[in-house]
Amino acid sequence: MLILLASLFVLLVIGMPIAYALGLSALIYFLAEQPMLAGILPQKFFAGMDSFALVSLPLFILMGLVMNSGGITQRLLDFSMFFVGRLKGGLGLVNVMASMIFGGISGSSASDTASIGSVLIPEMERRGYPKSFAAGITVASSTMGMIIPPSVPMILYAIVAQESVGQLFLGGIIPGIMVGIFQLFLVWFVARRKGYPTEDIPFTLEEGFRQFKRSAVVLIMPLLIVGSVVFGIASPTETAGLAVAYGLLIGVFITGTSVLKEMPELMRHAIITSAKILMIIAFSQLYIWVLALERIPDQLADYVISLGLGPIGLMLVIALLVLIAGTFIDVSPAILLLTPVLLPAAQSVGVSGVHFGVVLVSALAVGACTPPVGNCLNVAAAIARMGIGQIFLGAAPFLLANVMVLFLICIFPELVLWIPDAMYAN
Amino acid sequence: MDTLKLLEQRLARFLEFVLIALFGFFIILTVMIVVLRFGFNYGIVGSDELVRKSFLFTSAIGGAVGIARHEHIAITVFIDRLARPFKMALYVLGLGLVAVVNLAMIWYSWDWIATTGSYPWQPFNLPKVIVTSAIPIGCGLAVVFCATKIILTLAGRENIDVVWLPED
Repeated sequence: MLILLASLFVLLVIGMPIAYALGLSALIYFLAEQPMLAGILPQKFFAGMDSFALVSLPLFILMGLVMNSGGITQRLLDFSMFFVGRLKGGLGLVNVMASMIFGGISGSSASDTASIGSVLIPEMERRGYPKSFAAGITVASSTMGMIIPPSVPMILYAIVAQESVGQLFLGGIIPGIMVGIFQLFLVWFVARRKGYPTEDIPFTLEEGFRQFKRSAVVLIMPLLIVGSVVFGIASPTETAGLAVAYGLLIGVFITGTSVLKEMPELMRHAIITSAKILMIIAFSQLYIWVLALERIPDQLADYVISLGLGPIGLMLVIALLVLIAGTFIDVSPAILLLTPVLLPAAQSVGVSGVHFGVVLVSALAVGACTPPVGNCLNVAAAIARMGIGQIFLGAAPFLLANVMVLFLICIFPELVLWIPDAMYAN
Repeated sequence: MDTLKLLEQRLARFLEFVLIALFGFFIILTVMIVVLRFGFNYGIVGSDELVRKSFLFTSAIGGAVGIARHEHIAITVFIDRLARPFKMALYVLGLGLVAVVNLAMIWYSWDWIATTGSYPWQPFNLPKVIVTSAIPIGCGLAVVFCATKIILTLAGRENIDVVWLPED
């Protein structure tokens, strides 16, 4: 076992791609400890990729990309502006609210940062907001993309943990909205203290109706996706396929963008992104197999039970561990590496897989905004032309909202489980 | 070196075209499954299986193209801080090790495919080797890209400012 972990650690540190580092460390383990089993490696690898549920991954990624290039960002910003633009720090509030809605459409934090940040960061700077504030709030609010359904990391977790995608989608609703509300309050609070501007937006019934009409086709998308999965109208994979078609229809017939022309590049991007995650999934099967052979999850579960932490105590410890791990490792590999080790331990003290999944993804969402490995920071840094350290300092006060919600959902699992339990009760 | 770089780029571009075609195929098939089910109460035999296996090929080939395009997820925070010669050495070493893993997969898949390749792939009743060959094909392409990248990097013809692009 030591061979596996030590070799994996060294290979990761020297910058080898995570997928192949997992494969090589497993290979070293088998050659050293179980040479007779090495011949089964390709079969495990094959089985790791051969799943209909996994097909939803590139489709959901493509859906986010299609919606992103389908010209919906401006409509969402106008819609959010109508509701919160008149308040202190209006553009900051618009940033958060648009991310809440966008998170329900793109399913990815990085694309949320890119699309909203490229419009709002320059505009906020022009209106007198400090650049670090503008970039910071963009990054922090984009974390909702991972928590609010549909969420690509939730799908990935559902596949690894063999949990229901629908229940995980529903479990992310309350925590995602809580993060949004806390961040809205924090922005408003900071804006009042610093005297940030308000926006001159007509707040009339006609304007509200006009904005709703412009955005309705986009706003109903998360409801359609979650509804389709939860009510079993179509499988997650089929739903994702339909969502891609829906996004294309919006882009072509409603917003009138050139999304069809961009499709080959969007498809290339989606399939390569999914392939690199799939490589990790396939090679992680070997790693999981070694863990099972060595009975590591069972031993960890026994150890956790002997500590007598209880479900809340354990979830708090896990949340802390994941927060630390998330600063060094990307979201997808973290889900693939941590779930098989930590989930059995959590389940041994009665934590549900859905609760664990939402806590895991919520904690990793914070990690995506912290240096040194923070994808959203990198995206924002490219847009704002600032160092990731400065952006992180700007984002830190708002990430407190995420951390607060994270600890609240650890302590009160009902915040996660209430909606899925109610919906799946029958 | 120019020829090698050109060949590598052309191969990667051709494979990307194959990926887009396969992806397009299974998107259309996935949408058709639902439309036919709800619209006409009709199903296509083996459609799920076909989608799954197309996806398997896109993943296997996509993993190889990811090497050509520097698009794999890695923790580069440590090697990014090293001086350029050390960074280059570790990048080349990493590629060499990636090639080793893929060669091992090809080696071990040989017996497996030889044993089970003639079994029927249901529901199409075709030899199973059609689908299981995704592993040696993907891994073989990965080895080719590792080799070209190593040669091009050592010849100073590869940009290693960003060794591996971060995850989206």
